[in-house]
Amino acid sequence: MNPNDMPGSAGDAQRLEAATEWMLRLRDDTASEQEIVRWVQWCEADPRNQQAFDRVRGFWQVSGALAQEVVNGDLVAATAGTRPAERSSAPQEAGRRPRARWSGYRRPLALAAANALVIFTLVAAASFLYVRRHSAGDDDLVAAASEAVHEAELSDGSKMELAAKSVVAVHYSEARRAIELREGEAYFTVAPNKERPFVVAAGNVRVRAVGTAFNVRQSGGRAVITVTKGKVDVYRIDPGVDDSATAGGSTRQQSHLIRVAAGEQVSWDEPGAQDPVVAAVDPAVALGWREGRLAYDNEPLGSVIADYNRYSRRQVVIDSDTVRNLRFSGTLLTGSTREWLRALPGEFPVQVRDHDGVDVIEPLPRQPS
Amino acid sequence: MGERLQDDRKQRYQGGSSQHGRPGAARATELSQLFEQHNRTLVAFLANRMGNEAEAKEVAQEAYVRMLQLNEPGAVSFLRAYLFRTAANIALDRIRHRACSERFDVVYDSDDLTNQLGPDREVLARDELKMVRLALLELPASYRRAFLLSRFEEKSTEEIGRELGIKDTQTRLYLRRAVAYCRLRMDGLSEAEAKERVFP
Repeated sequence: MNPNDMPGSAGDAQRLEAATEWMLRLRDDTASEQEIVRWVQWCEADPRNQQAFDRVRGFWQVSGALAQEVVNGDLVAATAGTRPAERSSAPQEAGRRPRARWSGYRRPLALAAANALVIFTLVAAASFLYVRRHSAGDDDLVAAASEAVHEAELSDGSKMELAAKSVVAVHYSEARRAIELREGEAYFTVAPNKERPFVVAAGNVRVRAVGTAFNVRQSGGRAVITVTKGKVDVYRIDPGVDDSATAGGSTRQQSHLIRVAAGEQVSWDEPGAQDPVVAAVDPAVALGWREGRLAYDNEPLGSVIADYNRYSRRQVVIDSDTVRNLRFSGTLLTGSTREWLRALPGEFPVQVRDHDGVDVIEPLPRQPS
Repeated sequence: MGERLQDDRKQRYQGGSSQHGRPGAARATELSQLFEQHNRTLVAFLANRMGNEAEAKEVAQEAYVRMLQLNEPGAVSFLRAYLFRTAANIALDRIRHRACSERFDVVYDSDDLTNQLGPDREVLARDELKMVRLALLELPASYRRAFLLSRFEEKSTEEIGRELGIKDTQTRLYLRRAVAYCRLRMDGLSEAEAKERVFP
């Protein structure tokens, strides 16, 4: 290594200065796209640049804990004993003045947030609690990380666990607790409240609960609901109907309403769905995804692959309806997706072909007769 | 870009996941490569704005998922800018929401911190903070004030310059040097060494 590149060298100091300039510039929401791209290029041009940026950020975070000690734009320690009279009589800027000590005061929001963030970061470094648990606000979007099961606690005390690459939007109002499962799979444990129905939307399918626990999976245009505790009502609303204002749509908009009890599973194929299919299931099997086990019984392969793609970096595509409608019964372990895919041609008349880094499942070419 | 941003919001607030098609295979691969290549930078970018590493990772993941749902073709250079913009929007929404809900306006004190961190980490954090305080006190007063105004009063360089009676370029120099100096002190350089590097 060039001595001028050693951490702590003059070259390193320059890098830190450049990183500071970037850090300040990028904190500003008005930073242009070109600037951001130029910064990305700067970071990726040299790993030391990226490191310098992270080091500067680290300092910035740690320094946040000094908020309590800043008075009149300087550290208390720098002014202590020198200008006490001036300090105490200085005009207070609205809402900006930090307290001089740790205390139970409600501090100005920006400062409190800055401090809280520092602490959360440290906590996250000490354990993985924060990464895996999250409090969702009343109008929030929650997305799960790629591998871990993601737990979120909602403001009413209900809980949800999200499967990989799943996205849930929370829209809570006084009248109703609306959840939208945009992608993937989630398990809900609902805090009872008869006055405020809990409604999960998965495409045009709605699941309404009062106090219960159930799992919703949406993939490949199919919604599968498994109830583990209590009862839920499942129904469809007409496409294009906005039911956000009413508690799960007026009865006129609902169709095919069925009541599903604990130990039952209802599956609904979205396109042109006629009647939902209700079957008895072992809830523990349906919830196996929380332990990395996806169990299927007579599931369209297209829907299995939609799940597969949420757990695998390398994506799989099916380009034939025949293959998509093959029925799969068995288990997919989320930790060994590749092995599962490799075994697939043994079970179905299909082949898997690499196409530019994507695995394509095709029907076997017809044998010449 | 404005139009795309709007699209993005529409998608988010109107929902309707049934309309989301799966992106083409080639695009999915392109996106996953893009994400892999820039993930670290993206998380650094978000953490810088949000002040929280864990949340930054969540937002990066969310941006990725959202891009997977958008069935739009685009050149890689465009996608990269779009990935950062999408993530920045999500981060901004979260920050705003945080401010509204006052979720972070919690009362805590140093004892809580002690309890949560465990003895080793607590000592480390306290030592780091001690060094940062010391380093700031070692700086010339105008450098320190420039930094504190930027850090704790969220003032722009122009505003700081006005307050200290110096030019904008000068303010930026002060800020750059103040931060670099403190970081070098945190990294274990002595006062003399760090001063020599930053104030040649």
